[in-house]
Amino acid sequence: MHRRLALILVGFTLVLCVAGCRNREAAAKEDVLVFWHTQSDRNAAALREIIEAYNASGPAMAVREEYVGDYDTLYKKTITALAARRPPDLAVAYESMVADYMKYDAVSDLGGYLQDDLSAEDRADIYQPFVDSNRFAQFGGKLLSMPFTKSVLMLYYNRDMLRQVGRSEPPATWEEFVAACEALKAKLNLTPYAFSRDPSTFDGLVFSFGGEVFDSRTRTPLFDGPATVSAFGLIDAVFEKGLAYEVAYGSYDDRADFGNGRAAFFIRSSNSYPYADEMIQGKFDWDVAVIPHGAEAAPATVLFGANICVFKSDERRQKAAWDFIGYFISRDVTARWAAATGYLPIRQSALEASPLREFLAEKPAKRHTIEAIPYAKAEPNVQGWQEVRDAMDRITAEVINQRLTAQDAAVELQAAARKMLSQ
Amino acid sequence: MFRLFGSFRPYFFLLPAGMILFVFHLFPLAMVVWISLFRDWRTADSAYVGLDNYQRIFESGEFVRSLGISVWYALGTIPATIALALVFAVLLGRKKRLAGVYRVAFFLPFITSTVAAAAVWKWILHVDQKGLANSLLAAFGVGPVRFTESSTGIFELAFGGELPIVGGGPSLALISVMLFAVWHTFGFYVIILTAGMGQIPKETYEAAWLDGAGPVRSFFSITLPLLRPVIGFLVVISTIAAFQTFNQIYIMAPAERLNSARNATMYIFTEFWNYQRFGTGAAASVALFGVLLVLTALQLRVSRRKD
Amino acid sequence: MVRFWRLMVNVAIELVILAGAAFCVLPFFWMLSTSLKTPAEITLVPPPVLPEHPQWSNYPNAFVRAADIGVPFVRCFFNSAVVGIAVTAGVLVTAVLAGFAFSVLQFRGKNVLFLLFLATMMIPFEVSLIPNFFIIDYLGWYDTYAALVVPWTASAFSVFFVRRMFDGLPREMYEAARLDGCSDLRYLWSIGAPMIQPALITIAVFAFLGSWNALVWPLVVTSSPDLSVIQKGLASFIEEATTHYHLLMAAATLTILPIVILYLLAQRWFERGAEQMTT
Repeated sequence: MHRRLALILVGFTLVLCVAGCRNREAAAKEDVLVFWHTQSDRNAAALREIIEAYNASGPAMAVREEYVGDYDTLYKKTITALAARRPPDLAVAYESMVADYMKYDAVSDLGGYLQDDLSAEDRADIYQPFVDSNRFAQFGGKLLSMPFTKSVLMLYYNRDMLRQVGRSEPPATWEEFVAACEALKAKLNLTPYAFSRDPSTFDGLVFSFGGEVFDSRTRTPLFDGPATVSAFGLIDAVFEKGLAYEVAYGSYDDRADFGNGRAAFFIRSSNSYPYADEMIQGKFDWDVAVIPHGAEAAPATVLFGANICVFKSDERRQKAAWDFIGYFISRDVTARWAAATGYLPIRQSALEASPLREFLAEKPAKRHTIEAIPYAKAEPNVQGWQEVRDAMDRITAEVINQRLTAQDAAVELQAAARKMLSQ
Repeated sequence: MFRLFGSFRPYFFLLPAGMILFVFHLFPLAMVVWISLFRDWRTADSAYVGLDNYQRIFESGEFVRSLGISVWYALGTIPATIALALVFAVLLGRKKRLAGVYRVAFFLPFITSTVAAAAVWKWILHVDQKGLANSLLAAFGVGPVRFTESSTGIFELAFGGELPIVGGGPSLALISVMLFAVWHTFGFYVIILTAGMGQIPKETYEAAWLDGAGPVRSFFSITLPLLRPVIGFLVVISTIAAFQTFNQIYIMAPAERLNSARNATMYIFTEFWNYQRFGTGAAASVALFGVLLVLTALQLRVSRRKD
Repeated sequence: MVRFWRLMVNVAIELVILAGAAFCVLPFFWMLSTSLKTPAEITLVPPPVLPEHPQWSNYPNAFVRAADIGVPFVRCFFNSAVVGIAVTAGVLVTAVLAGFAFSVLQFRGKNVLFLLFLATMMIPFEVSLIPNFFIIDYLGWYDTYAALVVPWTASAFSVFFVRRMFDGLPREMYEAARLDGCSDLRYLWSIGAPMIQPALITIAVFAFLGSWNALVWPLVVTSSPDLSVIQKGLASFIEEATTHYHLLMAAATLTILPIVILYLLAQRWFERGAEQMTT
């Protein structure tokens, strides 16, 4: 009897131990580079093709891609994995995420690899803004990530509808935009602007009014400037006048409504282009343009900062990871990537390479997204910015609900941002 | 060798359950207190900061606000669920036919995963007229109500401003989640109350009827008092459950997750998961545990005194 | 006259109960209806009550679409089933052993230990969430099946329940068995457990239910899609497939289906368990 009981107990404990031990062994890294990304659907297929081609070319280490969700989920998973000391080898990250990852001092410096691996000419071929935003002032100017899926914030407009109200060009300034909306509403009896609440879109609005959101020298937010007030003011105005409606938070209903002809404008990243294209399929004439700008400001838009970073491990793995990055940003691969997805090519020379060259000839709208690059500004890459983004969302909601005036909203956002960044 | 085990034998029976419960439930209680005394636990610049985290969470007011939201949630769901369950338990008790079928219907929401059910409710309460609720409202000419994304408190909506003490009240987003919670749980309570009612001997009712008491009278004089212990039990478990609400907020009101639907559980979770502030998250956990202990103790004291 | 009123009252009661049941069931109906609509029908304003032609293909399409975005639905079902069964087995074993000990055996500190066991029921999950994450990491169990199963293999409530059941058994039966030379474990296996079978089934049902419906814990301790459980997979699908409600509702239906079937089969035990929790 004692024996039976003891046996059960020993068995139970053994099972626990085996479960634990087996997994500790598994915790030792495999001989494959694990790459966490957020690409789904068609883009995922394109990415997989590129990775398969890379793996087939006999690299030092093969790459295994894992889709881990949207950027939010990716961020949380990566941070948790870092806390559990089991990060992947490569991961996609916004600049501000990389800054947060540095809390664990886990991101490797890619500057050396860039210097050694690419010639000066090669390096100059890459669009400079793409690389610059990956240099982190707060960490001594180190290059902690490389561009991966770059896109810019664009205005999608229905040209057929605009023609019906006597316009052939998209609005260039916000005044023109509001006027166009009013005309569209009067003539076509719809709410023309499908609005999706998003902090990056808000950043774009501030940039387009000639403002900045963050001063990297003094490490302070700049939401107390006139540009922020104008940005909130624009949102306030379009909602108050019934020119805009908010779609379900986190959904792509704005894009869907545009495709169904229910809205005339929506503002999203250029990577929505292929989805819109597929949905519309020539049913009506549409195009993309740089988002409108404030009357006294120059055109400006947001450069979405999805980059790729390498987590620290041994030199062999890090070098192999860089190898993959180098492959990804090479001329032909980036041309393929840009043609297959809504993203921008990383290099200028890719514009002349197939299949991108043919694609641009066929779809001029894509060219507009590339032409927007000079006007695009990156978002801040500072630690804690994630939380500021949440505050931006929240305060925008208050403005939309008429519970805050533009002026008060700017003040509140500045105060919240200050507090969050000082922690 | 086995002779040694003799008097320790019972402890070995307890060992499997005890080990698991200790490691994953009791020990974490001590550990969370430990973590709450550090800043940036596990990161490069972790440091002992004593009660600093507690000061932080109370100073910023965010945690207190989240507790307030939890309280609104509890106030909104507990009485409603229990009252509704009581009504239906009584009504169902009077039925002979098909009572079993109805019980299945009532219990169905409870066994459904909150993730799936919350997703359905979110679709029903969709922010524009594609959703069932808004399309019904549209038939009455009421504009689309952004149920799960509205952050304004209902008092503020109704009276145009915040009320003294109670403030703006729970937002529509929170109320949508509360509605879901009532739908989800009341069937379970119906079953428990039915069982409790089944314990009351028929003779008591018959005696009262002979004395001329109508159904309503006998409900208030017999059923309700005799059900008090059961109702008390329901109050305690629903309080603990209300303060642990997570899934439905996560799924139904993600837009308000960080705003008007940020209850204490969400606060702790977001401190941990979104912002990696383990220290403040732990401090909030300890504070919440303290609040719950006090609440439960109070409830037990109240129910004991009534007896 | 009185009969008229009594009739009216009865009719009113019937209506109220019907309304209550309808309220409970409506979301399920809507879920099913939406799951069979076409994408175009989803966008219709106002939404149609029933789809024109039921799109059964939405169900397999949900799997395809989920896989597209990295949620291996089939794997999720498998994982949830495996984890659920493991947890249920664990809970049964630990509860029977401990409940038996508390009920029948004599030992020092019995009451104190029992109180400690009960105390764990009071601890809300979010209090132990953060430290448990670190404990899992320390054990090296992050992103493993062990993390999903082990912490839930003991339930203080089940111990409490089993103890009460054993308390209700006549003591003579146990003593007679002991006199016959039957060991404690033998007794449990052949006599004790079978006698409290209803309670065990109830515990098993609720343990499986709890495991199947869990979201937060799997979310926190696993990250690779291979270990995704059904609720986590569904939550990811919800975040991604925001406009594809027809697929989403199909996925939700499939998630609920196993438990509903389990419920209809084990209905008695569900209700019995709910009752015995209070009396």
